[in-house]
Amino acid sequence: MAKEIAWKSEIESSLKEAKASGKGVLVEFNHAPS
Amino acid sequence: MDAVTYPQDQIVAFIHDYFVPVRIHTDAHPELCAKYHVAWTPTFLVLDPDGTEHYRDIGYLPPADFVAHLTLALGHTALEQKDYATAAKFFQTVIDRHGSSEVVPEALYCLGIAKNRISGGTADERKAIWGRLMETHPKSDWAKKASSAFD
Repeated sequence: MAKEIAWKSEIESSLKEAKASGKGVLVEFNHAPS
Repeated sequence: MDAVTYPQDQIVAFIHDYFVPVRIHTDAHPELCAKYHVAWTPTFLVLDPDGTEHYRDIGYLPPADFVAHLTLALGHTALEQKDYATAAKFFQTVIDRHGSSEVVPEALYCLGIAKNRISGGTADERKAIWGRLMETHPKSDWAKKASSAFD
């Protein structure tokens, strides 16, 4: 299991990854580490 | 979120199992903030692979509540994609595993919808679930919505 969240930085490429994996996309908008 | 919620093993595992996680820094991407109508941080969106938004939330949540909200989001996604059995499974999970969460009334209401769709429009099971919602969470707005079925 991954030890931390593997954040991506692009929505469009993540949509393609989600389609291939059957997952959804969780997008967090933030200004700085919260 | 980085200090408390995200480091938890249950959060890492849940997000890994169900989502491709994307972090957008608002200062660097004002165009995406405008496109997705982001008014506060943190804002969370759940999108399907076509980019359709199915759930939105704002603000910090501790780990258990965050999982409850994301599970609810998975239910909403399946419900809006007309995958009613999967939707019912996620809404039931919210109810069974996150009983103290404030999203339980919404999960009960939406479970009633999913069961109604699964049954082909038969109201009996939906009304039974909504009756339970009105009994267990009588002051919630979701119970008020459910009460219309009994007028």
